[in-house]
Amino acid sequence: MMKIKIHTSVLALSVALTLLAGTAILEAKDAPFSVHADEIDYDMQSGAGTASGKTTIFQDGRTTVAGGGGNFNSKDKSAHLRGGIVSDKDDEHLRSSELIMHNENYMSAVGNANITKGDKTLVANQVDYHKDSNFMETIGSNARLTSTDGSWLNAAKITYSMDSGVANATGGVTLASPPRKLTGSGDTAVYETKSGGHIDLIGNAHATQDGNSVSGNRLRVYNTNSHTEAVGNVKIVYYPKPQQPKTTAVAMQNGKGAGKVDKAAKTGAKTHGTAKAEVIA
Amino acid sequence: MKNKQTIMAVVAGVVVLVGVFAWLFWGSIVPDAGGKKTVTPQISAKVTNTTMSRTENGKKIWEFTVGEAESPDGGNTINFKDIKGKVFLNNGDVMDVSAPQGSAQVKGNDFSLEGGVKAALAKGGTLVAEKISWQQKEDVLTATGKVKIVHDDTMAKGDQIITSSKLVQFKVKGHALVEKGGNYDED
Repeated sequence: MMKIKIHTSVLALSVALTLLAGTAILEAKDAPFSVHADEIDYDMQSGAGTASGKTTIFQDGRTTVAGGGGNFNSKDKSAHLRGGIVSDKDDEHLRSSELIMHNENYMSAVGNANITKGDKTLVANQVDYHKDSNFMETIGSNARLTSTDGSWLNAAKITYSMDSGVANATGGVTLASPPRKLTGSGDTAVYETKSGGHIDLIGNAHATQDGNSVSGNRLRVYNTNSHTEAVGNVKIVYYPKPQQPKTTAVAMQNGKGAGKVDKAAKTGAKTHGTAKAEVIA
Repeated sequence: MKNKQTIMAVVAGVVVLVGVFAWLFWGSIVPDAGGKKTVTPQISAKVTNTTMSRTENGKKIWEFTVGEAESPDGGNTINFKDIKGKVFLNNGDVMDVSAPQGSAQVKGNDFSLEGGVKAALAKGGTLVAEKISWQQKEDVLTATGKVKIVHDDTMAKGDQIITSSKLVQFKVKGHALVEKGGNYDED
């Protein structure tokens, strides 16, 4: 059985989403909704207010500061704050140009949205968070998830369900983990952050680590046991370790049936009749 | 000559006192003191433990029970001490007010209270401030100094709050805070 060391940076990236799940954009229903500002116009009947100058909203342990004031409604706990938004709760830090709190269950960080939770950061033009469904999604054409270890994942859009622990990245997915010398790409990616976790790169999937690469219609990279499964039109390029004579192995998998890539691949032989290749690191 | 001045002073005092009592009993219609406005000595008329009220078109606007009322300027202004009273609002609500001191203009229904003012609406809602002033005609109530409004589960604080006597809509200026969802003491 061919062994390729493809360590997964996916672990770091998926954990990022898990942590972001806790993004405490969450607001407790019964927590007081408190607005501080230089000046506030307020209607007690409707709950509508306009805050001027530096404005701070406190709710459920979250502190949100806006440099340019904004509108709010204390009854439905909605707000539209403007100007250098900075919002903190526990180890979560949010920055954006504007923050729209549609209600206590739904909010949008708009304009250079940047949410950091722990050592992970999600960046997009806009990040929407639905508390009632525990769902986050980026809006716009560029989303980026980074880790302080240098790992990153880019896609046009990233969504994440905290209930299922599944994140979806769509549109020109690329990822890299410099500490693991790993890069990957695909049309889309699905992260399963629970049950050990793995990432599926789907459509034009490609992963490279330390010169070894695997391509296919679909790649599954596991977080825990460092092995990769490739399905459909698989191509594996393997570079042995330096102490061994350098050999390039290419395996092309086409056709029906299933099988595993064996040592024939190391010799550069092409194999046929399998649609699935399992690469054990 | 000296006797004449004394007599003039006494007469002026009596006139002012009569004017104050007339104002107390008849509202904002103050009888003319006599047309001769050359009274030089300013006589202070003072009454204690009395109830004062203002009416307009037969409707009582406010009623204050005061420990002391004094007109220091010959009847244009009445200063109060130890005030407890009621302000009768157009919507039928009644605002109970209390303050250590205050003042009202004789010609008009406006008043101001200070020294730690408390106001409470019968239908709910309280306001505390170091000072409040009320322009009755426009129904503009301006509260300054550590102002706090509480109504049900909503509280507002600030250096100054401009509102109406209904305490429903307001502008908070300086260290403005509006909070909803807490348990606030309306006392």
